[in-house]
Formats: sequence, C-alpha cells, structure tokens
Amino acid sequence: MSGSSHDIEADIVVVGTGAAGLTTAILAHDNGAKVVLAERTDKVGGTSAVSGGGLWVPLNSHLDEVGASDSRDEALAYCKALTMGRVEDSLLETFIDTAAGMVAYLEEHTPLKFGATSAPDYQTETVGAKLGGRTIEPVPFELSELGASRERLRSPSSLAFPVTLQEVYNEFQAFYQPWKIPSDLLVDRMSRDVVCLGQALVAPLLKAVEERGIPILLNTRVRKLLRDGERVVGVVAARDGELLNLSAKVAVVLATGGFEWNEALKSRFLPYPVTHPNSPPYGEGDGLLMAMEVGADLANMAEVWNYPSIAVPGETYEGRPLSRGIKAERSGPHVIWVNKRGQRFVNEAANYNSIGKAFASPETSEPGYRNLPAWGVLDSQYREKYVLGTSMPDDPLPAWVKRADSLAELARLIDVDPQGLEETVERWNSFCTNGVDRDFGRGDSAFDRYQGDHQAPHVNLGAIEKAPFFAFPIVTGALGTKGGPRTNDNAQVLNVRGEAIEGLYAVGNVAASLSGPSYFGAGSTLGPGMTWGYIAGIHAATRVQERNW
Amino acid sequence: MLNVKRELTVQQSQSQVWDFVGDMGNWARQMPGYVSHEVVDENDSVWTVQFNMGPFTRPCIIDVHVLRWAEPSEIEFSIKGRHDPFQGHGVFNSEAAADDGTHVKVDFGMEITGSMAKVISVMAAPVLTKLADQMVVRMGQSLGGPAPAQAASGEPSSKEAATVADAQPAGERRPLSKLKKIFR
Repeated sequence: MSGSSHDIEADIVVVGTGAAGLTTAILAHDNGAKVVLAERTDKVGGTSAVSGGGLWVPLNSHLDEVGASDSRDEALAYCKALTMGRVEDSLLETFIDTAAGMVAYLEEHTPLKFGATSAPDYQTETVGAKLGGRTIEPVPFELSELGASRERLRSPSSLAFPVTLQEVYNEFQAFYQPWKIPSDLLVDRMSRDVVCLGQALVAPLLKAVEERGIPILLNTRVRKLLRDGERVVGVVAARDGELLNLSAKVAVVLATGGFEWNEALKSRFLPYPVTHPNSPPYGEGDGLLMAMEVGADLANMAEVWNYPSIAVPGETYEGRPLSRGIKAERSGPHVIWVNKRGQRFVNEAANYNSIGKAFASPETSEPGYRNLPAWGVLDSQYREKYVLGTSMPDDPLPAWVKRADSLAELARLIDVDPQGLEETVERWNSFCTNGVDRDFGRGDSAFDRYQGDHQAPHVNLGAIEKAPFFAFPIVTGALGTKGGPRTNDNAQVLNVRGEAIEGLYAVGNVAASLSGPSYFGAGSTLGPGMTWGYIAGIHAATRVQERNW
Repeated sequence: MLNVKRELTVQQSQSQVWDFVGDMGNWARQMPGYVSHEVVDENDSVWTVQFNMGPFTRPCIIDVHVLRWAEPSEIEFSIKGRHDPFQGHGVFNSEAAADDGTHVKVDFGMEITGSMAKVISVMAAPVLTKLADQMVVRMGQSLGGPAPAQAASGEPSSKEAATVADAQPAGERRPLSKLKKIFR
C-alpha cells in the first residue's frame, strides 16, 4: 500500500455487487442519485452469481403461471410462525408489502425477467405456507447481450448446466437423474451462450447498471467507513495498492455479503464449525466489521444459511475448497445420514437449513458435536439409479466414496460404530416396509415429498439392503451467514439504542436477516436481500432530493 | 470423440527425443497441472493432475498404459480416468528432420463416457485443446526448444488450431469458442 489517495465523489456508494447491491444501485440511480459501486474482486455478482438464482417473493405477479395464489395474511402468518418471535413484525410486513413491487419494477425497467416455479415453501405444514409459486427465478439469459462486459460476470463455482430450477424439478424430473435433461437443449443453450440460475439473475442486473452509466470499481476493497460526527460520509478503499476515498454525500450501502470465510468471526459467533461455505471465498465480514466499528447493533449472529454439502477433495474455486450442497443424496430412497454412533439424527429430506442445525447439537458427556462427523450411507439400489455428487451411476466410483460388501465393513471404513449402523439400518428398513419414518417423519411433509423421487414406490423411503454399500462424508456447508447489523424497515443500520446511523444502510447477507432462524423457501436469501436493496436505493435517493431542495 | 493433433519440430535428435519419451515420467511432467506420477511397470503409470478451468480446479487420477513401443519413432498409448468417465488413445511419432532436429507428431483422441457424455464433451473440448497447446509447448522446451524456423512462426500454428475445431460437430463449434473464453 503506497498510502497515496484519490477521491471519488458520489451521492451514494454501494459496496458489493451481488444482486442486492446491484438492485440498490439501480433504484438509487433511477430516483435521481449519483451512484458508484465498489467491488472487492475482479468480477461482478458475488454470491448471487453462483447461487440458484431463485427469489422467495410472496404475492408475486407470477403465481398464476403455476396455478398458485397468495394473500398478505397468509404470507405474514407464515413468516411470523417461522421466525418464532425473533424478528420484528414491522420488518416482515415491510418485506411482504414491498417484495412483489421490487420484482415488478425490475421487470419493467431492466432486462431481468422472471418465471414461476412450483417449488413449495420449506415448512409446508405451517400456517400460511404455500405448495408452490412464491419462489420465482430468472428466465434464461443470453450473455451476448452483455457484450464485452461478459468478462466481468462471475463464473459459477462449478460447471453449472444452463437449465432452470423449474425444468430440473418439474419439466424433466431430473433432480435425481440429471441425464434426463435433454442434451440437445443444454448444448443448444451453451452454443448460444445462454446462462440460467444465479448468472441469469446477475447478468441482466449488470446490464441495467451499465445502461445507466453507473461506474463499477472492480478490485476495490472497502475497509473503513468515513464519518463526520456520527454521520457516515464515505469509505476508504484499497485499490491497486493505493488508498481510495469514496465520498458519499448521502449514504453508504453495505452489500458485502456474510462472514462465512472469516475464521475468527465464525469461531466467535457460530454455534458449530462451518467448514465449507458454498459462496465465493470473499465473504470475510468486511461490512460487518465496518458496521461494528461505527456502533451498529447486531442480531441473528449465530445463524447461517445452512447447506450440508459434499466436498470433492482437491476441488477448488478461486483457490479455496469448493463444496456442493447435497440435494438428491438425502431426500430419496435408499439413503440415510448417520453420525459416528451409526445413528440417524435428522429428517434428511427436510429443508437444508433445518438439517444443518442438527450439526450444532453438542455431546453432553464430552467436548464435541454429537452429529459431526456425519456420513451418508446408501446401497447399490441408490447407486444404480441416482446421481451421487458429481458421479452418475455408470461412472467410475469417486475416490471420496467408500464401498464395502457389508454394513459392518463399511462402518469400519468410516470409523462408525458397526453395531450402531447395522441396528439403524435394520430399523430404517422396517420403516420403509411400513411406509412411515417413526423416528424423524421423513416423507410426512409435502416439502419432503416434492423433493423425493416421484418415480419410486415411496418417494422418500427405500430400504438399504442390497450390497455393496456405500458411504460419503457430509461437510458443514453454508450459502452464507445471516447475522449482522440490525436494520430498520428503511434498510438503515441501527445503533444499540435502536436509532438509525445516519448515512449507513445494509442489504443482503451482510445484514441481520429478516428470516431470523428460518428459511421461508427457495430464494429466501435473494428475495429479502433484493427487497432491502430496493428499499435502500429509494430511501437513500430520497435523501439526495431532500438535500437538493 | 474429441481429437487433437499437434506437430512441432525440435532441435534435439531423434535418439535424444526417444530417450526423453522413453521415460514415462517425462511425459507426465509436461502435463499442465501435473501433481505427481507413479511408474507401475515399464508399460503402466498413474498420473495425478489438477485440471484448471478458469476459477475452478479439479484433481484427476489417470491410468496411462503404453500399448506399443516402436523404437526409435513411435509410441502408442491409452489413458483412462480412474474416477472420472473418460478414456483416450494416442500415438506419438517422430522422424528425423533437417539440421539433426526431429519432427514430432502427437495424435490423441479422448472420449467422455457415461450418461452425460454429450454435454460434458462440449465442456471438455476447450480444456483438451488448451492442455494440448500447453503440453506441446512444454515438450518443445524440454527437447531443446523449437527448431529455428518454427520458433520464428510461433506455435501452435493456425493449422493445428483448425484441426481441433474440425473435430467438433458443426453445431458445437460456437460453444467451443465460448468455453475457450471461460477456461482461459
């Protein structure tokens, strides 16, 4: 760092270029503000670009595309039930009252377009839950529309196929069998440079930002907030070895993501070791630390967007371990998860956020976590029918999968109690015979069944009985953290007295999530995150207008 | 089947080239992403390679088997992914060239197998092309560098690049160019 400095002035400085940050910038610009975006990396998109791209949006205008309906009362009842009194009602109400408008605005004023999905809410038996429609996703997007800026778009964290969630889950029923997605469709989309999922969300937003002439400062890591008295008036950033002062006449909006890659912060706040974040390796809590430095109140700090994952040893993304959220390998027949006692510990088919909480369960008679390490155990019926990580049934067995001709031998290979595993499988198989999981209720909920293999005799249950048997290690993944500075319903950061810190906003995973401990449904990170970006952009820009009067 | 052909003329003599390629470890070390190799016997070796595809890297263990040693000019070999669904076959050929140099040809074909073969093949094509380009440059450097005429023209030549493109079905040429950018 040379210590030299250069100044850039704007009305609003947005720190971070995930979907929440880009949405903030667009709305602030469209409401009359001069905006600058600062991005730590050399790519635009943050965690959003590597995500599934779905948004959980109650009352959205696409519900009827999948024959769904919604009401404010139902959405509010559902959100209140899931957050268990840990989130202010006003935040939930603001989200529910604003999210659909955010989507409508972006669809009208940017190239971003959405389609409906049939994905159910994640707690389908809770009051106000819906069996489909609240999750929307971006339609496929041709990257040629970005021109040279295509190179600025963050790549997926693995070789993602250009296919939508709705196509995978519904149209092709390919959740367990990716080969059911027509190859010709995928090849055609690749030939036309078509992307789906998170890239299809970020790319049109990036295009919208560029069409508006909003500058994006890449390789610009914001490290400190500048203040005038109590008011935030800008940031100090490091760029190309130099210090850069970005003055913000009206507001700084933190959209820097979580702290899932910061080991010190994780050990300080999280209730169990999240070893394998699924996000790009830049969520190091920059925004959180800056907010703490100016006296922000914090909330939800022990919560993460859990996503138990598979990590192929040696695979990396931008030099850090890559992990993939476990999908088929928990919900379908012929697979269970066990701890070192060989015991099941959770309804494997429940939503990934809830499952992940089971890893925080402590041992009571010794230090440690009762359900770590954990293994997925399956038999040859599973292996012959379904995808396993990145491996198809007719592929060679991956090195990270253990194989044995008996359960006892498999247990010894993975250092699990053999008798415990045999007893567990015997009990599991009896549940499969009777069609009811009496321990954890797997298959009882509509959500479980949606995620099951719809071609199987029982969509979620299937005996583990046919050798050889297999086991794969489960790692503690997460889409990101969900604790951070508290915000009000204007997306302004609050101090410990509950007062807004003038000039400071937080949106997306950097902020305390309005979902509290829960996960409403697919897209619960992006839906609220972009809604808060929408609110922050408008509110901060309004302050610009007030100053100019 | 993905096919690549590469040719180069190096400064070392044919016997020197043969001495070099007669050690399978010397081949393995030319592989971009080389991590390690283990010689099993005179015909078999196991290579561990870390494939680099843009921001994404993936380790791969490859079983390499020499089908035929035909001193001093030809080696025929096969490869197979130990844990990944691909296999391949190749021929290394050399002939004496002017000024005591050697003209080297490598003809290699790889097939992605399994239920996702068609899609993965499209993704793998640019990776294979890049590996071939880098490997031929490294091999040339290990064999005394390219002969003066070739060094002046640069490598790989446009003819070689065309050979790779022609191996793609017509409908898959655009993804090749696109994916080259991704994996650059």
